[in-house]
Amino acid sequence: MNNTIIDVSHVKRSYKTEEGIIKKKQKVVEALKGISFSVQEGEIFGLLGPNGAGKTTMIKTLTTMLTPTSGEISVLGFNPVTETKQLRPHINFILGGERNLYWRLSAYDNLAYFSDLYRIPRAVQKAKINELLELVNLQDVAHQRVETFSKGMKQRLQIARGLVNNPKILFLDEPSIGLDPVSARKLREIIRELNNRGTTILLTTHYMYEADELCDRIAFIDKGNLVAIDTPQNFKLKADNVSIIAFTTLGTSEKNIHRLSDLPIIHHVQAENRGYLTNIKLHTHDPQTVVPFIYETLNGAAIQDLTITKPSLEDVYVELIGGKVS
Amino acid sequence: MMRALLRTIRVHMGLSMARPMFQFIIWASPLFLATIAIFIYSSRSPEDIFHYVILGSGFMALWSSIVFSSASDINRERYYGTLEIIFVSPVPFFIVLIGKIIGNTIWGFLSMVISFIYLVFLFGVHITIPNPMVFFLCTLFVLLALTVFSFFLSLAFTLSRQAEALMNFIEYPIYLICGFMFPVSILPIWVQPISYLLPPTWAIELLRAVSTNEFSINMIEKSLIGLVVVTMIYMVLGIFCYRAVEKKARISGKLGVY
Repeated sequence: MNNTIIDVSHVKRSYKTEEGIIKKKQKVVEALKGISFSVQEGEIFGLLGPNGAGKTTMIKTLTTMLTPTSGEISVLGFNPVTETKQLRPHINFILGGERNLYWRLSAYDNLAYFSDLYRIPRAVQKAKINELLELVNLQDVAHQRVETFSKGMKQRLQIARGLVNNPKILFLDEPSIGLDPVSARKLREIIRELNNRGTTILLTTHYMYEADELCDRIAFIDKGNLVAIDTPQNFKLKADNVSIIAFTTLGTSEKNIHRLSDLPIIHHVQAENRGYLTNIKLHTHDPQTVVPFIYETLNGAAIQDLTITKPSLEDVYVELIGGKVS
Repeated sequence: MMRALLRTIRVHMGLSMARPMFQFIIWASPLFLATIAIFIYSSRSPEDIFHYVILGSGFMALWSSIVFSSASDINRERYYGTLEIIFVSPVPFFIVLIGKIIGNTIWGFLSMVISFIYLVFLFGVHITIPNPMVFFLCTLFVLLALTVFSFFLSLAFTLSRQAEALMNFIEYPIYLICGFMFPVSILPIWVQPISYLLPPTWAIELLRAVSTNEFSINMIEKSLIGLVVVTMIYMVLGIFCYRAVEKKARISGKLGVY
């Protein structure tokens, strides 16, 4: 291992958009603001961040779909801006959602067409397609039109499509978005299986447990900036002296919830309204001091199910990206 | 490359025919257009009927399927979410574009033949082509010229999402401007230069010239040279636009937006 397969250095990417109908005004949106990271051969590397963080832009830039505004990129030793011909046969990508397939074609015909677009010799195509359909468990519906498939089946077919050329690197952009838990688990199994076979994987996701379970390393990006990069274990270790106090409260005001964040030893307050109830999560180094403060601050409001736990990767993410209050 | 081209032709012929609107364009629309044309020209000479009914309604079918459908196909790919995938696959994007256009050309030609059979068998239209071989060669060249024009228009669709609105707007005016059902000479003088900037005008004039009873090579000289010149112009523009599209699509990042 330790063979750098993707190297991203100070990459910036901005888009020009227009505002207004009659008096059009050009606006420049900076999607990536100078990101640097590298991915090692055989790794599953996760790019995590909120909507609009720049994850998809990063993936599209790495897969030759977009050119960066500035910065240097090397994928498998090739420059994705100028050496597209050399690079494209060795990579593939899967964008989340149900699109990116021909719904009026069968699963088999979709794979056959994309195999030709990736110049897979006809002699090996049939066996390869059958193998891929088996991998994603669609062999029984191979000749059925894709429009009759469920979301999970379409997503799995996309995985098969992304593998027609045996890519050395597979880019996955939110692959499990909208999938039910069973389909999402199946998808994770496939990703792990691919990685075991030697495919390097770069994936973006919103689901922290997915990143925690799959990724060797994770980069958190927010508003086009790289916030932190490490292994999931190290992220959790760094936050090991942090405790998460979670509780549900009834009948408290928003003002009181905000007052909780006034205490300096509380790093982060996360509140979620559910009807009359509010679920609150606090991040702190000193739970012993914070718990009495909670009762004092919420002043008579009912507090129930109070627990003190160690942080999950999601808690680390919220602390890194969410600011003081979210 | 050839394998990808042939598969694209096959796949897109299937995809096009799976759309009810395209089926209407290929199977039904030419019959309506041919019926209207024969009612207008029924009292004219067989030569006029061939020129303005058979070729006219056939060209309308060809225009709809080759140019109109090929150009709209790009927007459909954008909607399917496959445009980005085919754009970054190892096979060059122009191969996929040409494959689509050839697929639609085959359907368009079939549509033309259907319209022809319909007129011959139902309305007893009599056809005599003085030199079938030259007519056949000219038809092949016309199909090639329309393919080049269609390629150029498809590129505009690759970059712009607004192009479809313009395309819908100009589908019928093109029938008139290019003189599918009447000679361009009856159009206002200021419209005629626009007509001759468009390959379909020269294409239909070439086929009319080659199918006149007193056919001689001199008669097709003007329309043949005209068609060669405009086709060359659109070919150069097409190559230039293709390079610009390849570059600009990666800068604007709008291939996946629909």
